[in-house]
Amino acid sequence: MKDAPSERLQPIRALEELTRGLEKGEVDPSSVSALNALREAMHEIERVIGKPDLDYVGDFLSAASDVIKAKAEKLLPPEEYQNGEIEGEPEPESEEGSLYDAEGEWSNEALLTHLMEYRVFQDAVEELARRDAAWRDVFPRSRPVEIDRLETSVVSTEIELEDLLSALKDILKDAPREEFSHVPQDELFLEKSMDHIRSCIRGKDEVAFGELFQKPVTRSGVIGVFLALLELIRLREIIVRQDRHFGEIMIAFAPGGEADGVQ
Amino acid sequence: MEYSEAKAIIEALIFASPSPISPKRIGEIISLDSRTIESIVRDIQDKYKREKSGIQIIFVAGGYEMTTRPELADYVSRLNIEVRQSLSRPALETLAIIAYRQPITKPELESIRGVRVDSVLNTLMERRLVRVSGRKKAPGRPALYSTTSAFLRWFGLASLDELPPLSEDSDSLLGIPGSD
Repeated sequence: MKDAPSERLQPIRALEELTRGLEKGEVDPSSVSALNALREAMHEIERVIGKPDLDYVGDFLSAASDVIKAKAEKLLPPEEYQNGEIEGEPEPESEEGSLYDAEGEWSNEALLTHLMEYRVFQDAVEELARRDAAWRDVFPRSRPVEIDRLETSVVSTEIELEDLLSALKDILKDAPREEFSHVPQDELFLEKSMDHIRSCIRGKDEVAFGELFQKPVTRSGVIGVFLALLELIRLREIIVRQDRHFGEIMIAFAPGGEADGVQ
Repeated sequence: MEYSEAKAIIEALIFASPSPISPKRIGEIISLDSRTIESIVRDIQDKYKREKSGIQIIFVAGGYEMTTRPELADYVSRLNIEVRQSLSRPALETLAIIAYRQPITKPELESIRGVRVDSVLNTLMERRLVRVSGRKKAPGRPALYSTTSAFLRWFGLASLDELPPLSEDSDSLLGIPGSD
């Protein structure tokens, strides 16, 4: 590359930097889209110098192929395995259904299955893309449930963790204290509490915050259900709303969640 | 109840329902069996076709829904009502894998796609096309993802059975029992 102004070199330097990162293992190859990186570099080149000259195109292609090679080397099995064996060593047997063999490397069979599986979905993707475009032209009379519910939540007052904690304090006031002789180590406790909340909401549009705590009468039970509630909010399985300040806090399945999930 | 009255009621129910209404739900309201209701809806659909009406009744996500006819989209979109954005290729790929392999964990999705899916998955969750349907009984109890009824409505599918079959040999690749 000769006498190129530094701005011209930036897109190519960015690609070289990416290649180095991939080679050193500083960049996770799964998190990098080589196609997007090349596209961005192309846009930058067009922005900076318009139509690139032949020398510049050569440099760009060289940097681009390095990125693709570096990513491929990190994701694909080592070259020796692509020929079925490593010189002087028998090919290790792979576990059924595993992408890796006994040495922790990709097996040929697993790689082939993986690539074929990916290819199988491409036809389905084409069909979904066709339907996506076709159904954009159809306007439903009934409004999608999620829009109705989102609009409802706009008129609701915004609920913060503080509001939930305040409601929890009220519940805890009435819950009897327990004499702890040991700390329960039930790893399924949270899961059970989440199921409890789901079963409270199921079949109803929504339930009041207090209704969730009618069954666990102990303080630890109350805390467990509260933690499960936070987890379900985090997973976006449920929504929490309050129609007015100091009003009842209501819990419902999130739109598109379990309530709408019958297929 | 006279046939014409039942027809009018069913038409009104489909019109007023905030989401696709199933034959079962209609039956609960007007005490008719699902078969009769399906036959009456076909009559209404035929009437709309004969009259070259601007609206149609479709069966989507397990229920009936009134929509405009697609050929009128250019005019309807001028109403400035929100027109949905098309899904990106990565989003379609991720959705297709979830639709055929559900319930599926994020690591399983990433293994098939070969790239991270966090951002795409978030977008699909925000659009309510995908939901967390449970947790896998495996170390770390990873979340399992499934499609929603909003997914069916988005693609105009009556149910998941309407998804196009995958290409030959795909059954054994996907571990579908009895396919060998």
